[in-house]
Amino acid sequence: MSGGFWVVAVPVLVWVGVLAYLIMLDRKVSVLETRAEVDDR
Amino acid sequence: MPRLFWIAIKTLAAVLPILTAWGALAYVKPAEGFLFPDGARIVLFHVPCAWIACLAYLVAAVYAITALRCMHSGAAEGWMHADRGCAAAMELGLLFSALTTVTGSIFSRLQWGAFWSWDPRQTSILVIMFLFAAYLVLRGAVADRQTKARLSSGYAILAVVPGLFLIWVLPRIVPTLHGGANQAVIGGGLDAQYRLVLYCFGLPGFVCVYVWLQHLRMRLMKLEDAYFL
Repeated sequence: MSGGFWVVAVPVLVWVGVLAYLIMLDRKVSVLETRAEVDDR
Repeated sequence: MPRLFWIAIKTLAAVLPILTAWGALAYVKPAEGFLFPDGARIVLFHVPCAWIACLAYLVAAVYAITALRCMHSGAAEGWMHADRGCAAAMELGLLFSALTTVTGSIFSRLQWGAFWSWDPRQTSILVIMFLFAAYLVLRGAVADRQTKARLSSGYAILAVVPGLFLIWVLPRIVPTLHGGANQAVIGGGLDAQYRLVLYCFGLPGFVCVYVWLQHLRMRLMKLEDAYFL
């Protein structure tokens, strides 16, 4: 692989990792919100 | 907010930073006239981070005014929501001002030979970081929920004045290493390729990431309020 490929691929992979973490956190918060609503009832 | 709005924000927050990375690293040409022409590519991350830190300041001030108004009218859920918005904006402001400082220091090392030269612009972003950090320290020092909200909202409104002065006014009235850069970004002297990536991918992408993070942090704070108060 050429150096040019990795120069683009590494930042993109880092961002995909951050994004995966954000999506996971978003889902976890949704689950907790649903649980809190059930507790309120 | 409508479901479709959040799907659009999250999709753009996922795609536009990838397009920014591609644009910065593979699309734009090395900038002529720079000591290290490839180093100019970092501008496409540095400028959106600085603008988002500024946006966070304004969002925090608007939420702080709303919190104090709701507190005055006795709307409990209203001031708590606004206070959470203000705190989330200040936290994200600290994060993005730190990213601005790091990316700026890398550029500074390449272009001016040192990571830090006490340039007015560098000093102002450092003071802004301290203003954001002081807000969080103030919040952490008060236990009562309403007193915490009142004090921190007052601070956020007061801090926005020196904050915006340091971002927008000071670096334009004193000699600074950033003189050319200020004109390039605001005055349109930026190369067309850089402009395209910055205005079409970088800025909208970072705004979407900020909106998503702000919403996520506010939801988390609401859960903390519900479980720990």
